[in-house]
Amino acid sequence: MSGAAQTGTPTLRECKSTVSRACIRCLRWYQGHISPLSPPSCRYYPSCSQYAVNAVERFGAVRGTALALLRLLRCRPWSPGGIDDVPTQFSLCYRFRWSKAHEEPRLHPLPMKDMSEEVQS
Amino acid sequence: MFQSYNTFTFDQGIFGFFYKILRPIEWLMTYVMVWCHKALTFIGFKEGPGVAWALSVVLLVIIVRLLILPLFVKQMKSMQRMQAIQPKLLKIQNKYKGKTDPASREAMSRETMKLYKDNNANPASSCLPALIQSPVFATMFYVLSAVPFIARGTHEPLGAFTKDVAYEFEQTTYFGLRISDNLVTAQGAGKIVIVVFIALMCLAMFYSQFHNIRKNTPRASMEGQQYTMQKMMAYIFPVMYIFSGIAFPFAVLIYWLTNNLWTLGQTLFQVYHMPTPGSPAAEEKIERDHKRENARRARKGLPSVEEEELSKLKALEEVARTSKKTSHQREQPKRKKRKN
Repeated sequence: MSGAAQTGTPTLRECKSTVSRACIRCLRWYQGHISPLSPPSCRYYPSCSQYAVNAVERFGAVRGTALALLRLLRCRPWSPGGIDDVPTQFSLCYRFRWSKAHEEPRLHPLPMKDMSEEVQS
Repeated sequence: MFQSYNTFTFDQGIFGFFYKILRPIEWLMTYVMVWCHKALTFIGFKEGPGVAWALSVVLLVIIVRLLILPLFVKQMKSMQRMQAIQPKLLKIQNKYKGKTDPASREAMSRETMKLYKDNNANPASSCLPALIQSPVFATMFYVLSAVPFIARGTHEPLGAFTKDVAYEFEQTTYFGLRISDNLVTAQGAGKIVIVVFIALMCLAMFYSQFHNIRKNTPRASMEGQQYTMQKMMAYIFPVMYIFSGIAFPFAVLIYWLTNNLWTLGQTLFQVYHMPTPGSPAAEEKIERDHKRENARRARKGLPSVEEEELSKLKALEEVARTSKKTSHQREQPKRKKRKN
């Protein structure tokens, strides 16, 4: 029972569009080359770039980027920080308690569904 | 570099677009500088071309840095709270000691982050302060580079920098240098002054980074690729600034030197008073505090910390020896009397 199955979002590698794959490649490049130059500075876990990768993988380029931009706005001094995962259901307001997509911060990550699906297929 | 052309490089192509967006900041910056200049002439500096213009650049830096000072203060307070949760943090680190698989790394990060959040302490300040500072720096670079062009009338007036003001600014000489001079156009002694400025600027920058990495990094994270990379950056960045410093007009160098000196001061202050827990600087601070406490007690004629601890231990031993009740040995169960 994975989050991807619930929402019906394609997570398989073949289903990802060229745009989202390009986005992810850019983000990976940033993580590999730019990010190590400065000490870790994100107030959240996962870090903003990792969050963006997850969001684009789960919801595609447009909705993933929207979530990532909101996250970047949230990650600033005076914000409480903490654990902030990409929601399993897409919603821009998932941080609010009243939202249907709201999830309590998880101390243990969800099982890595993408990998298991790839192994199965 | 730009002086020989009548077109301003930063108004063209992608730069032009970028600086159009930043126009409000540019506008504000010129007014701040003119106000600073007015304030300086009010307290007795010479009007017209003069050292007051250089000082107004310095004041501009100070104003910008004062604006982001609350961030620094917040960071320091957060560091204090970090000190308080250090035992819990160590507990988490011990729990995952020697485990390098991604799953336990992730679990460890999550637990650490939860601890930070629950105690409202976060060592990170997010990337926003750096993101704010860079457009401000870029704007300052644009404004100070545009001054000669405004003075010559090839660039339209920018905010408070009308043609007259820009001309006055441009005609100012410090150490025989005009603010628009760079290493290539400077003459004679001016070249030496610029070289000295670039050297000081790079040294200040290098030392603040070097000091931070060497003294303010927790010993636990003083290994691995990331640490090596950060150390490399401390060496490489100042060298890169040497090259860009050659092309920059003198006014930008003044701004930059002041900025780096301020950063250096902040770093030294932070590392001395509020080091990151677990770093060499923190160890030094503990030792220093201990010595200070002993000195204070010595002045008042009180026993030092060690003596006090020793006497406490002795008292405990004494109590244990004299009274049998506090013996550590378990009491043997006694046979209950049966009713028969």
